[in-house]
Amino acid sequence: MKQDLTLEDHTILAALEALEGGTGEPVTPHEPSETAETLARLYTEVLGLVACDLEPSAPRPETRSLLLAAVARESGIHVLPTVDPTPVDPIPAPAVRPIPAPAPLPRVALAPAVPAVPPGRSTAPRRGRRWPLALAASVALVLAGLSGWLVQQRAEQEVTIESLRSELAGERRKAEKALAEAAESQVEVERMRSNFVLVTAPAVTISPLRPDGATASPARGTLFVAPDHQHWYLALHGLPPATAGRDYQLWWVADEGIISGGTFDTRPGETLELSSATMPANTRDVMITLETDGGSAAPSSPPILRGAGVYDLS
Amino acid sequence: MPLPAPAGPVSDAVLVRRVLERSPDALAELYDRHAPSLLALARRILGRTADAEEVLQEVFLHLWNNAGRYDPARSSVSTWLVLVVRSRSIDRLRSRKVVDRVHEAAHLENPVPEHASPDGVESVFIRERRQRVKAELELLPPEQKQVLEMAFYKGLSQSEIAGLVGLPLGTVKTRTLLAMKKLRSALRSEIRELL
Repeated sequence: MKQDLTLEDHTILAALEALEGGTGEPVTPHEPSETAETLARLYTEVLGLVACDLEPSAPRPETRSLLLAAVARESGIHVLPTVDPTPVDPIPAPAVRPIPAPAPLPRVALAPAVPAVPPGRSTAPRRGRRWPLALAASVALVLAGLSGWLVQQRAEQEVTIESLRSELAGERRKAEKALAEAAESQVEVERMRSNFVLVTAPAVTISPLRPDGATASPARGTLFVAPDHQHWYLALHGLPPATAGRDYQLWWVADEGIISGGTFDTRPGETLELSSATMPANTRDVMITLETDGGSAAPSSPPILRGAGVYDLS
Repeated sequence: MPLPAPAGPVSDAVLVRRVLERSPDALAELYDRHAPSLLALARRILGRTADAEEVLQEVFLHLWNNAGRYDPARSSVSTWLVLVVRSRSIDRLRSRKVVDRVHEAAHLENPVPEHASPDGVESVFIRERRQRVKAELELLPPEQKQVLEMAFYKGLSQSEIAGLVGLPLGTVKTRTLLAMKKLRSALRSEIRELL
């Protein structure tokens, strides 16, 4: 089976292996290529969506509180206790003893025995010594203003960076979407190409499928089987949609018995295409029946379509 | 002066980045968004609500300590969380099966009743996505759905499934491949929203 697997099949098998391994990691690409990476991403998301059908149920509020408390403990964040809204008695202010005012000093008439200022120097230097203080104050003021401006600039830059980051993330998402679409198209083209190669191969066996017996059904089909008697492609048209609770089922008539090829349904006017890389060994005939929804273990109704027998699949 | 545009909801990826920067608020926001669906998944696998809640708590603590391991190129945040919860639940289930077969049997006799979440827990968007996924899973042929669910919810290998359902391994693999391909094709728009 392995040699027939496509890159997509390999990716799905890798997804299943990831599920078995239970590491919780996304699907690993089968090979180092962009297509393989995109397919791995797509099937990772399919796995994520499988669990989406479950009815959500809200956890107990305690679970959330415990989690956040644990997080706070781990990161050393102190959780503030709930503030009690009841007013607290004000703490009495300490008694302040008034400090007695100092007694006025006796006025003493000082004789200018020694001049306070040396001769020849005026009082101007005293005023002059204040300028460093004034300069320091001015510098401090300027620095404070500059710091404020820098903080504001930084905040603005952070906003700009955040906005650019979010734009970049948006562009990245768009690019990823485009890549995903391209990969999907590539997979589709690959599928169509392989079907085209199959139906145009010189040694392909072609078998028309016709309504069984005297049924006046417009349904028709054509089965193409590759020379390896494994790859096949079936085109069906004119089949009406199955009635409620019913499905069409494909059957292979082989040496080992009648084997189910799977169930399907169709839409009005649709040409249905089915294909696979495997079919039972020594298949001699093919037929389609209408079965209960989900299919049966063995055909339970007369064939709607069956191989017209003008081919040899053995 | 034009009014500033109202801020939209912060994306999951941005919240994970903030968790990496040690923001408990971001972790709480992620918890509020995803805990209900993750709890449902853990409970589906484990059966017991108490065990499922423990797993949920473990996973969010894991997120708090390992947010740097999240790679946005490989999965969306919700899918990453689903895969981690699934993995931890399966691990717990396996170890429990070894030590606690009696309890398991008792549980199967009295399964935990499923109950829907209270109104408002689930956003309209998530609800629509869930309904769409549910509908597509229902459309899968039962034999395909069965093997997919056995692999996903029970953590069984393809060989184990083949042994249990009594089919050749190749048939089981083909069924799973078909189911996955159908889901990928049917859920194309949902997948795009996650990319």
